[in-house]
Amino acid sequence: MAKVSVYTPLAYLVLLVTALALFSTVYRRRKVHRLVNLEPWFGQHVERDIYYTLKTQSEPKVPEKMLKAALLRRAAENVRRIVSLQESKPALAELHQRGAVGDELWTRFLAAEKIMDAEVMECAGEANALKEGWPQIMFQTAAEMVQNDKIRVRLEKVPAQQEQARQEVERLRARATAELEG
Amino acid sequence: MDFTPVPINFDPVTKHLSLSSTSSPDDPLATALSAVNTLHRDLINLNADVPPPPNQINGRLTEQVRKLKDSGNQAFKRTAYADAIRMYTLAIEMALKRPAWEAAGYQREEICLLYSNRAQAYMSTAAWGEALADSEAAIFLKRSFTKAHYRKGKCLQNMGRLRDAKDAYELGLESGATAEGGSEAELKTALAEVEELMRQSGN
Repeated sequence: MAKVSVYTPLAYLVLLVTALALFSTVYRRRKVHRLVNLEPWFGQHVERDIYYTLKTQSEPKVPEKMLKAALLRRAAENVRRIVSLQESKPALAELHQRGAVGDELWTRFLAAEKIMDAEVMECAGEANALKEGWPQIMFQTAAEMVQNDKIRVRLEKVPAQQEQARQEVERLRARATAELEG
Repeated sequence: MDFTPVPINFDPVTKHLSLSSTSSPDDPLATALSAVNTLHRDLINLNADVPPPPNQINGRLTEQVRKLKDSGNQAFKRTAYADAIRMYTLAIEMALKRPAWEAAGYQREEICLLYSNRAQAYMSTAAWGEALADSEAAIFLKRSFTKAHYRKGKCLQNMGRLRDAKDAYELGLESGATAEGGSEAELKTALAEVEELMRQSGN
């Protein structure tokens, strides 16, 4: 039996560890790259951008109540987004489990959840800086705002609906008159 | 905190935000800015630095809405339907001025009654189209409000849409099953009536 150098197993080990380490870093780098390049779940957060634009504006300085209004709108948009995530989660999770939905979509969804968690914390921090203790009722306020927005959006349609239905009635009447005369 | 700066102008005199670049009115940024302006105006009128909990309702506004509604009801009673419609419309406009932080449930309830009453006034002038849209708005605000389903059905029936009218009455009976009574008997009679009409026209 040939003599095996003591360095052979060592060389083997070194090779193995290097290969694994190389694989791990490349894999992780790719994963990070993929995560960074994921298409965001939601579009631009306009309300957030407005808030920080106003906050960082120095000339002219924006009054505090305007900042609070902008922050409330931001919180309302956060509520809307969180509700939308919560509503789609069960169905999406099921589809993903069955393989009907790809891993990428699922990863994007989980990333969106994390982003929203961070955004809510950040928003609460801003609120607390404007008025201590405000975050405790601010989210309740924001939730009502989302509901009230829905009411107003729906009711804005009423005049157009009235007009459309009114025209339908007029056409009916014209036809009925024509039938009577004809 | 990284963000995309947006081109906003703040006018220190009018205390109003506007876009520094010209844009179409349905630009999401323009919509968002106008929402901030509205909220800011409401906050200025508020006697506190941040909105109170949602269940605190502005009593003065409630009173103003109630007064307008009462004048509408009185006009309706003396069959001055055009006046009643005008009063209810004013009441709706007033109710919609309520700040967005006040309980949505309260607002739904308050506005629902106004649309439902205005529907009734429109129906009294045979303006079925206008009344139909109003009853639908009232149903959107409060599904269990059987009176609005009844009125919607009557409008559809008068527009010759018997099938839709029947659906409206049936939905009214379903949605109102747990709600306070009142229109249930009315709905049942109306349902029987429209079914009879359908049988006749089917022959």
